[in-house]
Amino acid sequence: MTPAQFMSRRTPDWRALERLLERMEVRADRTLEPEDFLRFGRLYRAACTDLSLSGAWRLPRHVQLYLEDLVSRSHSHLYAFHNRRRFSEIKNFFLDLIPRAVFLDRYVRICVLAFYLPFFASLYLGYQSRPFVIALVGEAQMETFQEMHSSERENPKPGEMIAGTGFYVWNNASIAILTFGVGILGGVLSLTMVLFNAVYLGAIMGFLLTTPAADNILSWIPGHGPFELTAIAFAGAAGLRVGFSFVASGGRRRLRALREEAAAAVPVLVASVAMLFVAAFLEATLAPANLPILVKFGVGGATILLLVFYFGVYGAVCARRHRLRLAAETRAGRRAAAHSFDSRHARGRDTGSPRLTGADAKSSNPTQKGLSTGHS
Amino acid sequence: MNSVSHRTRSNGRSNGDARPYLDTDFEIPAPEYILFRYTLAGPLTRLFAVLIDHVLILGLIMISFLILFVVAQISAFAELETVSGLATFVLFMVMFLLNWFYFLAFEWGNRGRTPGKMALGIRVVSVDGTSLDLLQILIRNLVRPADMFPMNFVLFPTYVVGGAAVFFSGRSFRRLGDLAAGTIVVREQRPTLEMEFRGSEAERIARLSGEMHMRVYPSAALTQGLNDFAAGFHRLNPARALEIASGVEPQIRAFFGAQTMECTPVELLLAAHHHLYSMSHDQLSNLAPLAQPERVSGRPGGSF
Repeated sequence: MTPAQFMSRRTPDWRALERLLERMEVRADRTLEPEDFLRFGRLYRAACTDLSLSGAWRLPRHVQLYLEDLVSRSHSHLYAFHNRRRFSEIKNFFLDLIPRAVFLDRYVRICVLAFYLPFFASLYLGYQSRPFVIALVGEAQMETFQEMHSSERENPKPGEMIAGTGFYVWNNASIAILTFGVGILGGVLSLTMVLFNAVYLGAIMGFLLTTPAADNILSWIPGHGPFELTAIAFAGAAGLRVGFSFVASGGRRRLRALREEAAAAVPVLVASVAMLFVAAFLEATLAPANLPILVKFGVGGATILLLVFYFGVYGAVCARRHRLRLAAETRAGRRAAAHSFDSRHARGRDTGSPRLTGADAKSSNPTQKGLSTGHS
Repeated sequence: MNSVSHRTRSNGRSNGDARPYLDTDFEIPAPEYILFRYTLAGPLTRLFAVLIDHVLILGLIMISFLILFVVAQISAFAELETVSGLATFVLFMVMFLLNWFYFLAFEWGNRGRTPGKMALGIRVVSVDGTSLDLLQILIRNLVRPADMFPMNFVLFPTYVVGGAAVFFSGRSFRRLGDLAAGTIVVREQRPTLEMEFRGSEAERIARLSGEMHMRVYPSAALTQGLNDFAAGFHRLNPARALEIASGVEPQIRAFFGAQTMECTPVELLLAAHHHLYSMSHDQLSNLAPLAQPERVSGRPGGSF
């Protein structure tokens, strides 16, 4: 058979695969019948064979390129199974993964501390010493802030509330995403932004508490403050984690460390963005509302309790549950491994000799041990 | 996924093929025991794609700004404060969504292609050759601000960091977001089964090829050489193509019995290629076998 004959014999199949691909690339699950999927697998394998034989058949180069294109496109459809299942996992994401990830993440602890300690220190300094605030913020800025918060307020109208929510979401989420994004440059910038925000916000608030605007501030901040400030710390933690993985890769290749830690940081970042949405809503509705200060402090206290419960208590519960689940899986795995090890050896022995117990099998089989620790 | 990327990155271009590639191919091993190649998008292509996207984002923001401004003014005039508030809310949400979810939404819903990428015929795939999953898209776009750095926060990303990463990420042209998510940006070529000639050229080549007659079975090196030339000559400088073709002209003329044919050396080679692939089975089996056993060269098409 000549290359030309080979090509003319195989071309109908290639064309069929090409047409199938064109339909799949629009919307695979709607345009294809079950038999199309079967046909797709058959045609794909045939095209793979043709591609691997194309050199031996001395096919023209452009035909080889054509086959390569067919195979690569089919490959990306065939092995795209991980695309599907994401939406069903959202509940699991919020009720297990996020609290657990936040609870176990040491970068979250670092960043929450790195935010709140300087924040309260700066708050105290700003309250006590005016020169500190002048040095940090500048007098012009201070007056702007003072004016901004000293005017008398009326209850916001619904329109203003909605508009405000939009603005605060835009503003705060942008800050959070930026705080995370710049973290990849070694993590330093994330930490810097966390520290800067802590000191700056603390100083301004401390200063405003000494001015006539103090009442307004006390009624403005407490509702959304805990959510918003913690969210900034969380975004910083996610950024720090990604950036620091490149610096201290823990024996992995640096790129691999980066990739793994970036994936691991996503739950914390999602938590941060979700908190910012809630904070923005509170800031636009509750903060400007003309309610007694006690109510606002009550809401603030409730949000703090919620945060502590969700990330601290519930996070710990999730972490423990996850650990137990993993341990159970490992035990089951070891038992299965030990069993198969046992039966393999029992076959070659006379019945009188003592059989290995599960524990012995485990310790005498380094590969099994390595596997099981790798899983835990 | 990691082991795959490790293999393709660490031993360079290809397994077993001794030729040093100068092009920007990225090899991916498939479970079917074959390798296939993606051609990576270069730095400039990626820059233009991202420029188009950002211009589009800016344009959309401006348009929505205008529309919503008009709506807000009208509703304020009509004392419908809820409507004007709603308009402002929508504006900020549109800005927010366009800025942070434009890339994400398109890459998720449109097979890894934003409008800018579609315009330039490139798309994002995972380093193991499969299409993207949501997590990868999330990561690569959440890291985007770092790549945009330094920037005027809202309006003007400079992509200095991302550009530097593209240049320093070896031959895979990846920005930081790509490195973090394990993705590459590849060209979407659609090679066709037909040879690409321009109209009259094809007829002339076919006519020339009809006048040829060869008597000896062609060697693998000859086939490969003609193949490489036919597939790549239009990417060469014409003078270089002529130089290459002239180098082998006498041998080709002798082999294909075309000593007196009137044509340029380039046409001669293309016609020979055409002739080789248009021979029937009978014609091929009537050819005399090679005079001496074929010497397998380590570098097919080495004469080029």
